Amino acid sequence: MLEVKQISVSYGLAPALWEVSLSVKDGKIVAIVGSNGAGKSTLMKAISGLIHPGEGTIEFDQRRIDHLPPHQVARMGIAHVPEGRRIFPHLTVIENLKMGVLPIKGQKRAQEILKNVFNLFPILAERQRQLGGTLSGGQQQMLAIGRGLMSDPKILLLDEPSLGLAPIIVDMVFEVIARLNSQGQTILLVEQNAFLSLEVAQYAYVLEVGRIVLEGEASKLIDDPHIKKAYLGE
Amino acid sequence: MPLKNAHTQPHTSAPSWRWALLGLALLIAFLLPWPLSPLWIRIATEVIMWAGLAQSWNIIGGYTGYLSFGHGAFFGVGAYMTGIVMLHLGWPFALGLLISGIAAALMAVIIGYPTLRLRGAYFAIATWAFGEMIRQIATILEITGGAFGMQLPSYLNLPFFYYLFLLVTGLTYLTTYLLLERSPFGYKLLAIREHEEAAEMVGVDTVTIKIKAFALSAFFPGVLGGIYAYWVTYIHPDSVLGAQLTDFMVVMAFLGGIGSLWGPFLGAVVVQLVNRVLWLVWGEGTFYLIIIGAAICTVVLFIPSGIIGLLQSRIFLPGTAWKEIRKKVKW
Repeated sequence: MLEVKQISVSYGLAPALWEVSLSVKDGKIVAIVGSNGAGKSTLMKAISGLIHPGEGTIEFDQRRIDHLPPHQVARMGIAHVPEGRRIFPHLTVIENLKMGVLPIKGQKRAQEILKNVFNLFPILAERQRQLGGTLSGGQQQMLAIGRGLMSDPKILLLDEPSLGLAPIIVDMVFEVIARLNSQGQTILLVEQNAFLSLEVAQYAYVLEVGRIVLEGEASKLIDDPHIKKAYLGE
Repeated sequence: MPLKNAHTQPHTSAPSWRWALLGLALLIAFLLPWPLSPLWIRIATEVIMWAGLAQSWNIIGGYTGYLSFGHGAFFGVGAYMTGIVMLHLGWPFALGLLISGIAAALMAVIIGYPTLRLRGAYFAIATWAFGEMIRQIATILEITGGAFGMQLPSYLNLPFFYYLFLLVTGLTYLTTYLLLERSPFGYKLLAIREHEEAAEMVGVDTVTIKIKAFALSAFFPGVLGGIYAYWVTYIHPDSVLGAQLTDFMVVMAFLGGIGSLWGPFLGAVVVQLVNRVLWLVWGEGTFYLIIIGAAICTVVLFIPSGIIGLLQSRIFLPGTAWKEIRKKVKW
């Protein structure tokens, strides 16, 4: 479904990604694990078109998307839930969610998706008239994911969904990620929290200072000695 | 909450007493020239023109969140286009207005295409430079009469201009209401103002939408400038391209409340009336600038949502406005 081939990205003279390749198959959760500054968010931004790679290609459903502007990438069915949530703080919860609906989707479909989002996150249904900026961090994360889902995406890009959240909320968010996947949602997940993401994902890549250093079945990576040492604190 | 109205209703619909109020205001506006002396008809005409200009600025500055500091140039371009069309081409006034509006909108597209890709202060700087550039060009061109300006045929009919301004300003508000308060276009602008990157990620073609908003916000000043030229009959670079033009649009919109439908109207009424009353009392002077400057500081510091914000949320709850202000001031 998503094929990233040998992309390199640099900010001015500072390279951020070197020849990174990865692929996400339909219906899977793929995780990208790595520490701060490894280039995880850069990779996500390159996929969603916010930045364009200097080299390499990105294909989505057999079409090249690496030079499309972000709104076109979004319309093709890639929903990016950015790091730090980026909700619209002065809009209500329901307005934030409506923003996620793409004009190409019909009203009926939009209704169904909204119902599903409220099912996943009942708190959003309760707070739909509240301003986005007044929600707690965890609720804002749920809202950001909900907004991403409203476009009925073929793939959901989740950038650090656990960032700055209390452990109990993190568990909840990851439960939802697993539930979404069981409904057939394809997800590309970027996380510092290696343990949780390897648990939920089927396949994973390890990104270190801009390069993929390791990849494999998530269940095998969890037992990899290098991973254990570097990311799981053992 | 049903999603029936997604993309069509950013806000809840207005209660009926508001429509009654609007009808009453329109009736008053329509009958206004009868009891007034010519001087006051002129002042009322100015107020209405400024209400239209402030709203035009509000489209890009308030609703979209991109501060244009060269908006006076669109007014000037409109004034000169109508002048050129009537004087040099001998075409009718109405055609001149249409050409003025289109020329101003086209210019906004040309300026917006490169600058609206940038964020932050760049747009403000670029529009300011653009306004200055247009003024210099008008000063050296032969067709605009250089520094001496242009003398248009005179048509001395005060009510005619009053009603024409009323019509065009009315259209400005109607357009703002329909396109910005009641349509998906308004939602997209809101998303851009709130968080541009997030807007892109939810599929908003931000650059195109911003250029459209800028063109829309330039069209009306172009038309109003054309009417102004025919009204005052004599235009020159300082009168229709001076920096104060932009300043006043910004000040009125801010004072009244940016990003709201009626804020710019209230701002224009207050600023222009104060301006003219002071002028009547003390004669030609710059004292009003001090008062307006003080008013702007007060608004920005204490009531960022402007007069309209005070009216909407607090005036009906006596005392709360002062409490709000006192909370913000550290004595």
